[in-house]
Amino acid sequence: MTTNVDREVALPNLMHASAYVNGIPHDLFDYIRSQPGLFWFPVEGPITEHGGVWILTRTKDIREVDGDGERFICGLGLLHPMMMPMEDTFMGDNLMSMDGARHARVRRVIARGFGPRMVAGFEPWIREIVTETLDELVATKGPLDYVPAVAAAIPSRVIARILGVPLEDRPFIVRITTDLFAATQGEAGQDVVANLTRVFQELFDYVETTLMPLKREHPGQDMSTVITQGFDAGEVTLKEALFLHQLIMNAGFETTHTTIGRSMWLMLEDPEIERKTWAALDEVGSGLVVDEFLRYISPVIHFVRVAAVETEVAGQKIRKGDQLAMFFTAANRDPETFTDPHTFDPWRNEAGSLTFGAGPHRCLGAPVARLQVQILFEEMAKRNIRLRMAGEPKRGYSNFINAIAEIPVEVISGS
Amino acid sequence: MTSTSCNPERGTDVPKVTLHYPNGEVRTLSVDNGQSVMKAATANMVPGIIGECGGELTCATCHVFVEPEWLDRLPGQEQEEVDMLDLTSEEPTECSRLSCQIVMSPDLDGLVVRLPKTQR
Repeated sequence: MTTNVDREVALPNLMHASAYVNGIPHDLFDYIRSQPGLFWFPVEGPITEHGGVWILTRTKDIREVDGDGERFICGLGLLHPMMMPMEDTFMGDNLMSMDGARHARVRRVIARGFGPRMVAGFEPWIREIVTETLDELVATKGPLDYVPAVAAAIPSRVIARILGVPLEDRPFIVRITTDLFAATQGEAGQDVVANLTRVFQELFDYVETTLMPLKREHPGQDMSTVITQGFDAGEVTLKEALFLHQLIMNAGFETTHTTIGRSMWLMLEDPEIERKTWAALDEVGSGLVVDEFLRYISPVIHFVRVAAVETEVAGQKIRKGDQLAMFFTAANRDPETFTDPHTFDPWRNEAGSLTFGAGPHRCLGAPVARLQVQILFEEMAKRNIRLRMAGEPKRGYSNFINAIAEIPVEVISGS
Repeated sequence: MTSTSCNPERGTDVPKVTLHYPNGEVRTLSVDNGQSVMKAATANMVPGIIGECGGELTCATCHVFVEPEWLDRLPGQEQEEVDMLDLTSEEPTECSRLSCQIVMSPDLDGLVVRLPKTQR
């Protein structure tokens, strides 16, 4: 067993949101990555079966674990503190908590809506949403908060459209999307489960009694139609169908919102990042720029897997029931994968980012997320929109999303 | 020498698949009988085949175009594979298969496939 007695740095609880209130502790992850094998992090209480968690910080190790859904499973929990058989919890019908054949069956139903060729067809209407959002931004006089104005506005509007929510109900879906996110961001002491359950119920009532019947009557080119047809064909249960709606809203919102917010924050606090961003957009285009922001920001900090069997990773013996925390944010700074990993370099063209995970649970919405952020940068460049910081930005409170709460800005140029 | 892993002759009876890349490059891949072309490709870190989901038929990132003369000799298609071919990055053709569903057998020795330009 690895012991951490020789460590030179005091470790915060990496499994808890308090470790991320001032940003991602990359120096700590660099230290952990430099140690041989895997790093054992003790955790008190009944959250773990063996009194701690393996911390994974290398691309290679995370690829091995995330890519092997047989040895390393999701059904016993993905995040602290909710490490227990997911079947026994309110998240039991959520795709992310499923394994094996059940996961494949449910995932296939929504995979239909996210094929690369289908997503390429989203381009014109996503550009309309971005244009409208930027119109509202440049029309605002004085300071404003970039998070609700842009970072949250774009993905929530995109999600409402992807689901196929009728125009008159879109404000409701935009509100539920932000409420769902807020519920996962509970400050210490708040009851996250109770908050989430309440918002889930409000969403599920709407989906079951309004949206799904509407899609039966008027099927469209949208995800709710795809899910409703999957339910009617017996491919998913009602609960699975309802949770697929929730998943699209949650997963599609948090991460994109973080990427849009944090990329602007980085540009406004570091003139070098801003200079590189506009220059690279011009020289190599939005694809590489957005990929670099996604690597540098890593919207998802980590997820946990549980070993289903006794096995070995990076030469370390893993017991059945051991938890392995896959720190994507650390792997995206792995010097074995990226040259000069702590430098923001939008010209870099290195594959191997784990921003969207790897393996059977890899993010389904990745092409949609990339497309939104690409279009946003393209339109800002085209319209020469420039902002400045107009106050103190605030981070969110989460142990798994590199979350942003507030970015006070002012528009200084652009049309 | 009897040890299979050390035997330099071992390669001769392991079925081979020829991969043609869009840039004209050609590679030969050994695939054990009973193993899928996708598994052999990812285990050997052959570029062009991702196989993100590991063969669960949920990702469509192991798309290949099978040379027409081999199509009839391949194992049949499940409905799930047909459905997933709608989700490939490059437009599928009548020769499209997901290589996780091409399980090697002695009569597939010499199989020829072309790789798409992108898998996602």
